[in-house]
Amino acid sequence: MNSHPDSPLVFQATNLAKHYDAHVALAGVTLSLGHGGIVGLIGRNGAGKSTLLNVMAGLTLPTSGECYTLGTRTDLLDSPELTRLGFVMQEPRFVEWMTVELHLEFTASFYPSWDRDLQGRLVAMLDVPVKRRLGELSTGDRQKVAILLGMCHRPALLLLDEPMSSLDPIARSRMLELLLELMGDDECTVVISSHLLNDIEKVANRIIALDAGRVVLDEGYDELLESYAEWVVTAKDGQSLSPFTEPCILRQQTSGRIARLTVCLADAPEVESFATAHNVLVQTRPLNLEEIYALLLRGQEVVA
Amino acid sequence: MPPLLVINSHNGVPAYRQIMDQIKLQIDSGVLMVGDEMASTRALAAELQLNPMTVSKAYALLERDGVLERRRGQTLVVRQRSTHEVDESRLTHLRQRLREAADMASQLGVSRTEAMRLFREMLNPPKS
Amino acid sequence: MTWRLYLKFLRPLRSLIAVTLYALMAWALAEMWWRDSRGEAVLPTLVVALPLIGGLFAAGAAHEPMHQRFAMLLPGLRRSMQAKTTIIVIIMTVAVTWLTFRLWPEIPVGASFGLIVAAMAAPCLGQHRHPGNKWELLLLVLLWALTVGIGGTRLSAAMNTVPWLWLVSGVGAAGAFFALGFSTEVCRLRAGTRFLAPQTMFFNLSIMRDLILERQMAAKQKTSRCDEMWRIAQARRRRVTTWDWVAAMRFGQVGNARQIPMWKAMLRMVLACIVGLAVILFIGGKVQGGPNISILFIVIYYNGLMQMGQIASPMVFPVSRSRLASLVFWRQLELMVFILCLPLLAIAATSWGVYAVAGVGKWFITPQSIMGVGLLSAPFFPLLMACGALLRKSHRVTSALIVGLGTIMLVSAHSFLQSWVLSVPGVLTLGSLTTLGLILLRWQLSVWWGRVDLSDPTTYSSASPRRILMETVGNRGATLLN
Repeated sequence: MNSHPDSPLVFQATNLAKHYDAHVALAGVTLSLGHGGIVGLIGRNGAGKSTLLNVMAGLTLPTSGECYTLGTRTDLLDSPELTRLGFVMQEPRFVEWMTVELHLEFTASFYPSWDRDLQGRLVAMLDVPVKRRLGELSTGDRQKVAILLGMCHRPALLLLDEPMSSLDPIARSRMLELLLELMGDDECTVVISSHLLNDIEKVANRIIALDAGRVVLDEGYDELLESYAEWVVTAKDGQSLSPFTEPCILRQQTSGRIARLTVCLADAPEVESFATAHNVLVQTRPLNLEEIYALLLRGQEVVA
Repeated sequence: MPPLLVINSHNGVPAYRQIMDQIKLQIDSGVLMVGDEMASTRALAAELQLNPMTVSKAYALLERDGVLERRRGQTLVVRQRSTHEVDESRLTHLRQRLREAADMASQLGVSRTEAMRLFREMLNPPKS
Repeated sequence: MTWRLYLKFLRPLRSLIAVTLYALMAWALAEMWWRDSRGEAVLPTLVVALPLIGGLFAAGAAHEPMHQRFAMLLPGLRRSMQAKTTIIVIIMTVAVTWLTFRLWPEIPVGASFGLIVAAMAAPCLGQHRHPGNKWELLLLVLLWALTVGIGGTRLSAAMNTVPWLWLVSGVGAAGAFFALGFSTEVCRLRAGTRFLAPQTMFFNLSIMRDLILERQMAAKQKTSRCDEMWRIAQARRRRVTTWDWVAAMRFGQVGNARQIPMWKAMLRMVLACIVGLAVILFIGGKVQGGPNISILFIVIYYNGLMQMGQIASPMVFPVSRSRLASLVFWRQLELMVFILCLPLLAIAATSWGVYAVAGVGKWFITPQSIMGVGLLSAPFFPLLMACGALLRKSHRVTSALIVGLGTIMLVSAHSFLQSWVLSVPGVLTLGSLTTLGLILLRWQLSVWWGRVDLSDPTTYSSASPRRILMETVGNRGATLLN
């Protein structure tokens, strides 16, 4: 409804860097996002997720490097692109004296593709208090209004910065339903930055992880899950296990005759050959996003 | 109609794989019969609360594996497979479970004969 | 809460300077009313205005920690603040009473003590319901105005008749004010609302960064015609122009798309001009010309600078950066015109009004002077706004320029430049300087908005001369004084 792919990529960054005086917020970021899909942007506090989203939306200009959003350089973004862009900020900014209703009307007037039916549905779904002034709302309600303002014009690129952290679980699940619906109807690209990994793992099909301003991971979610596993190794012959030296083993904890190995499956041998070679029994277990996150971002020893 | 699948998004197994495995199991155990129409990508995605791209990936792979086929251009139906294919598929499900059982037998030091006797008992429960 | 911490809130040196300045202004205004006899104006100032202002600052020091969410959790804060404020008030009261006694020995000490202590305790009640609630302040100002109207002679006569009544009711009132102002219910209300401490308002701009306060104030704001639904969607039939966006910006700020001036800001300015006039009369006597012009210039110049900020909506509009720059430019131009014209008109009207009512000298500020000052000020607004954007990294240079230029003009305004300003070459030069300034401003705005970080809400006012002045001069001054 609102996307006409005149350029194949919704976002493209080459060697992006952003410095705030001495603080390096982003460094050497190279990314490209195509149409469609939900990208989960994960990382620790201060990793640069909000900065990246701000740069994508053209609000913050990079110190060096190039980036293009919806086919245009981010400092030249104009109404044709901005009306196809939606940004739900972490600390939303509104015209505080307006009531929610009035503010929706006000914002709607700037977007020719504003969908009033969707607005009505969202207001009902998320339980938004429309008659109250924005200055009086709680944090959760403000976030709901921010979501409304970012989504109702059916953007081609929707950026969400921690949109659900203040929502109650019911509102969160409705919000996820909504994102998926948006995905289904239009060729919308969604980038969602969140600490709530449970929510991201339900919807994302691509994961980008930032650490200290750098991209440490940029992969499809399914591929990511399938590249790591945990092997629980027990000695067959009752002997104590000595540390394993295979390079695919990223982490190991050994205690007598049992060991837990975190393995990178790309370089790993077949389970059977490993078991035979070391005369052990191996039980495999897949790792979920939270565990992989901890693996990637807690220490510097692993890079995808 | 959408098959009743249960997807656990938290256990580390990719959703598309869970969909594929469960559909294959349903087909092999007769819950889904040859010629049955599969739910559309959008409907299944909405029912399971998943990204539509995940569902379409699962469907595409099932099609590639010859489990589903496309009829009349749009709808996916369960494909008629050769007896050999069907048998292989059925045994694959069982093979996975038996491997776990075999590993456990080995770990517990249960002898081969004991293990076989136990399995036979499981298959033919005695009438009490 | 130890005395050391309390004094940190009180900021004694800064408060002393502020109280003196405000008291002098109150005196000047009273003088403007009682033009002939000095005594009439001094007594109300000393026994009502000075204590009110002093009390405001003393109470402000206590209120600042109490207007925090966690205030009710701190054990003993309320009692401690009550005790300390009472002590400070009593000390100040004694000082002012002694001064009154020295100047008017015929007024019984008890009576003046009573009146002064009541006036000083009154601000303890203030502003506990809403931030920026002007009504309580207005009430106090009206009471003071009433006292000024009554005049020193009648007041001292009244105090002489029943001095014990004055003492008893004054002390009683003060006691009631303290009790009420620091009662648990009121303190609970205080903890829920933010507060503008008079000490902080005097110099620094931390209040401008207080987004929570802004939100609270916005939630209480009354807007005219709030039900007027903004529709730019009609514009689908025609192209959307910059003017539509300016109107949208206006609507976002004022609540009315067609309302060009910001009435509250204008009112504040007019009031400031009246105060300025009073100071003019006070300092310059009733003499025409002379330092009057310079002071008039200061009023226009600095008042104008203070009112202007980078006007842009904190809400992010979906417009390109270049368009945003042009929007800000037109909005500022609107404001500059009104900022320049309105005070001049107000001063002209007041000047004529004072003549009509009080019969003081024909036009103590001539229309020519007013026009001259207006013309002289015109180039500086755009030039300084442009400097603000251009030199945003070197705020010191900009503040030096602002203060320096002001001083130069101040010194030369009433001298030979007077005749030159209103002549043809003068008008042409000033006109072209203004145009140059506007062009420079337009260019600098596009550079500034082309590069600035739109996600930071403080961006929207950071290049204004007001902010620059406050941040450099103000904060430096503040650190020096405390």
